[in-house]
Amino acid sequence: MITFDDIEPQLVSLLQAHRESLAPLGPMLINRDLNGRVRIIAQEDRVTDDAGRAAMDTVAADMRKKLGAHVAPEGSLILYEADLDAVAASGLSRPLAEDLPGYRIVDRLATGTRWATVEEPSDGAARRIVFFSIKGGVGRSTALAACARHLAQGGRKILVVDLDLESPGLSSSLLPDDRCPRYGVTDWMVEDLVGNADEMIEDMVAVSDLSELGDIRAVPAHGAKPGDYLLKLGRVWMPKVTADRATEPWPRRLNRLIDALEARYTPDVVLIDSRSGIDETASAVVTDLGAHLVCLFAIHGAQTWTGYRILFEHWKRAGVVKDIRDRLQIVAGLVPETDSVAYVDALRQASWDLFGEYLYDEVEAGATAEFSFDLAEPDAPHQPWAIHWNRGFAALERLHGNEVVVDDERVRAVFGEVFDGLDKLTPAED
Amino acid sequence: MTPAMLRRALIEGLPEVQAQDGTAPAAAQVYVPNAHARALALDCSLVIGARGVGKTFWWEALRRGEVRSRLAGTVKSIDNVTVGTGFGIGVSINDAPDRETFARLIAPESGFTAYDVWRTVCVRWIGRLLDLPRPSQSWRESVSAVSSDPEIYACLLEQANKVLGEQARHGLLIFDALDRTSNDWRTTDPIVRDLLRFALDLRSYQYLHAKVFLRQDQFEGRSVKDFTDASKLLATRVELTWGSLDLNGLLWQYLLNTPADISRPIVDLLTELGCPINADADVREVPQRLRHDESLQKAAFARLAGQYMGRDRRRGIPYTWIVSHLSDSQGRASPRSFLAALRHAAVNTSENHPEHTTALHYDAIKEGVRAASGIRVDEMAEDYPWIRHLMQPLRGMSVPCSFDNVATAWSTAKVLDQLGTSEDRLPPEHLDQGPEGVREDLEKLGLLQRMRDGRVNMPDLYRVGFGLGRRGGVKPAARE
Repeated sequence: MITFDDIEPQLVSLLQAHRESLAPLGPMLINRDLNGRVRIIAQEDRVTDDAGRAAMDTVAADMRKKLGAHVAPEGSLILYEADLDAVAASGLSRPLAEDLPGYRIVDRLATGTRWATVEEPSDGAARRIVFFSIKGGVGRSTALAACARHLAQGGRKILVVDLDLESPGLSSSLLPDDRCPRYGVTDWMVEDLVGNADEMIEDMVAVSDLSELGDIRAVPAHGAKPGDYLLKLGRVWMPKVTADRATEPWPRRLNRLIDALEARYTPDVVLIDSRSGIDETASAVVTDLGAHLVCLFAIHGAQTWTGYRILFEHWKRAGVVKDIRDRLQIVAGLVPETDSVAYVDALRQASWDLFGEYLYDEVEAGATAEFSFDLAEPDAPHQPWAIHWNRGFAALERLHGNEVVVDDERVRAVFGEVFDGLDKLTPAED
Repeated sequence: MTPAMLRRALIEGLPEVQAQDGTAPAAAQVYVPNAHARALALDCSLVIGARGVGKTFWWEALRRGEVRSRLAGTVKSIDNVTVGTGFGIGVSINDAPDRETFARLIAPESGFTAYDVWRTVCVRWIGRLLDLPRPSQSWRESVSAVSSDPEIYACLLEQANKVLGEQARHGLLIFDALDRTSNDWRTTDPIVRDLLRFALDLRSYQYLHAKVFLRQDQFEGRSVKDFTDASKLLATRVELTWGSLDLNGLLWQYLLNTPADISRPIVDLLTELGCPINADADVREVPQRLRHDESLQKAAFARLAGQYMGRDRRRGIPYTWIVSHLSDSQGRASPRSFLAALRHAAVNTSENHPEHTTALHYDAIKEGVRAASGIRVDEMAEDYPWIRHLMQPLRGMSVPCSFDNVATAWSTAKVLDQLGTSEDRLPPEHLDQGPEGVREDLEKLGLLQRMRDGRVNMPDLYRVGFGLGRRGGVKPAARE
C-alpha cells in the first residue's frame, strides 16, 4: 500500500525516470489536494505538440501505477495552467527535490496556514514572545503570568494575548473574572471576517492587577460572556476574502490584530500564550506571528521530543530553519524536586541532540561555525531554562487566586532562570 | 581611550608564550585567586590541580624570596619562611635524586622504600637550613644511613624545629612534578604515597612544613591515600581551579601592569566604570571589587570585547562564551589558554578588523579561541604525550558519536598497542583495561565527555585543536 509518506519519494523517482521526455516541457507543480491526492500541473504554453502531450500521458499512466490510492480514481491527472506561480501561491509550496529543479509540490490544507514560511520578527517597538508547548499541563500559563509580573515590575509595559483558543482562560491571577473585558480574540477574528473588527480593540483589553508597580494588559480568548463560543471558534481559522477577491490567511489576520493592539497600547513586550500541540494553528503561532523569542516548553519524555522532532523536521524540509532557529529557547517546564540536577542534565542532552540534528550548523573538522553550540554552552537555545517545580511553588498558588499577594522570593526560586533569560533577551535598550 | 589603544594594551600586556618551567614569575604576573591563597598558606600540605592550573608556577613562586614577600599580604603566614625544594624540574641532584637515581634507590634489590628516600631528601634540606656542611655521600649512602638509624633522623628534625623556633622562622620543603619520578604507575603510586606519608609526619613539627603539588590524576582514584591517618592530610588539601572571576582578575592584573603609556587607557576605562586604580604602585593591584564583582567584570570585559559573539545576543556573550569555549569536559579552563586566546584575538582584530568599534572583534575572538585550543593541546601533550597518538586517528570524525567508532579507529591504527612502551612519561592510567579504560582516563583528564546514552562528546577546547567536527543538521553554506 502506498501511504502519504511514500508519495514524495515515489514521485521523485518517477519524475527522474521521465526526466528526458519532460525536460522540454518546463517547470511543473505537483498539486496535492485536501485528501492527499496528487495531480501534475503543467504550463499550458509549454505543452503544445503531440509529443509533449504523449509524454505527459505516459507520466500520468505511470503515476496511476505507482501512487495507488493517492491519485484521483478517475479524470485526468494532468492539468494545464497559464500561471504556475499564481497556483503555487494559493497553497503551501516548496521545491520537490534538489535534483529536480523547476518542480514544486503544492499542498492544499484546510486552513490558511503557510507553514513553509516564517514571518520576520515584527519590526514594531514591542518584543513578541510566544510560550509554546507540545502538550498542556506543563505550567506554561503559570510561567507566563509569572514572567508578565517580573517584566512589568522591571518597568516594562506588558500585553498578554491568549491564543490558546481551544482551551481558553488566562490564569485568573492575570485576569480575574470581574475584570474580563467584553470581547476576546475569538470575537475579533470572527468580526474581522465581515469588517467589524476595528471597533473592538477598545473593548477586548483588560488591565491586570498582577503587578502593583507595572502595567500589564491582557486580551483573553473570549469576553466576559463567551456566547456561542464553539460556533465562533469554528470560524476563527477562516481566511478572509477581501474586496478584490484576494484571500488573507488567518495567521495574517492574527498578525494584524497584534499590530493593532501594539499600535493602540504601545507595550514593550507582548507575551503570547499559544495553544499546545503540533497542529497547524499552534505551529502558525510559532512561525507566523513575527515572534522575537519562542519559549519551547519541554518535559523530559518521549512525547515532548517526538513532538519537537516532528516540528523541527518540518522546518528543515520547508527550508526555513535559518529563519526560525535563532528565536527559539527551550524551557524545562516542571523540573521535579528530587534529582533535579540529573533531570535537567538528561533534558539538556536530549534537547541538544534534537537542536543539533535539525537546527544547528554542521561544524567541519577543527573549525567553529556560525550557529553551533556545544552541550554545555551557556546562552545556547538548547540550554534549558529550568523552572524548579518545588515546594516553593505552593506560594504561587496565590497567582491563581484573586488575592494578589506575591512572594517574589519564592517566585524567583521557581522561575529565576526564565526571568534572567528574558531579561537578557529583552534588554531595556531594545 | 580608542579601541586601537585598548587593543595595543592587550597585545603588549598579555604574554605571547607563557613563561616555561624554571623561570621566576614576574611580580606583575602574580595574581592570587582566593582558592590559591589557601593552597599557598603554610598549613596546606597537599595541593591538587589539573595540567596548567599553576602548580609549577606557584612552586617556582614560593622558591623566590622576592615573590614570597609580595605574597605576604595575600597569603597567610608566608612571612619568615625559608623554602627548600624537595623535588621538581631544575632541582639540583644534591637536593633530590633524579628519576634514574630514584629508580635505583627503590629497586627491589636495594631494600629501600620511597619513604626512606623522602626522609633523606628532608635530611639534606635540614642540613641546608641549619648551614651544616654539605654531605659528600652518594644518595645510596645517605638513604642507607637514614634508614638504618631512625633515631638520628628524629633528633635532627627535633633540633631543626627548635632552632627555627628560636629564630622565629619556618622551614618549608616543596615538591612538584612528581609525574617525573617514574614512567610507571606501579612505581609512581608508592613514591607519591610515601611522600604524602612523610608530609604528614612533618606536621607534628611546628616549624617544619612540606607542601606537595600533585597532578589530579596522580591523586584521584589512586592508591596513594592508603596509609595510617591519611585523612588528616587529605582533609586540608586544596584544589587549584580558575573560575571566570579568577581568569578575569588575572587578565586585568596583566593589563594594568604594562608600561604606563600603554596601560593608560586601561586605567581610564576602569576609572570610568567607577573602579579607580592606584596607578603609582610598583605593581598595580587589581581592586577588590574588580576581583569579586561579576557585573563589574562583565561591564569591563564588554568594553574590550563588545556585547555579543556575533550580530546579536543569540550568538552568546563574550564574557561567558570565551571561558565556556576554553573549558574542558569537567568545566575547567586554564589561565594560559585564556590569556593566549585574548592576545590572539587582539592581534587578529588589528590585522583583519582594525576599524572595529571595540578592541576585540567577535570573529577574531573565535580565532583566538582556536589558537588557544592548539596551545592547550600542546600543553596537555607535554604531560601526556600519548594523547596525540590517541587523537590522531580521530581526526576528521564528528562528535557526538558512538564510542564504537572511536574504539574502531584506535584499533585500526593499532594505537593502544603502542602506548606506554616508548614514552618516558606515565602511560594512560587504565591502559590495561583496553579502550574502555583509556576512555575513562580521557574523561578524567577532561578531553572526553560521556553522554547519557553512552555516546562520546568532546568539548570545543579539544575538538578544534585535535581536528574533529561537530554534528549538525544544517550544512555549511558553501557546500549547499
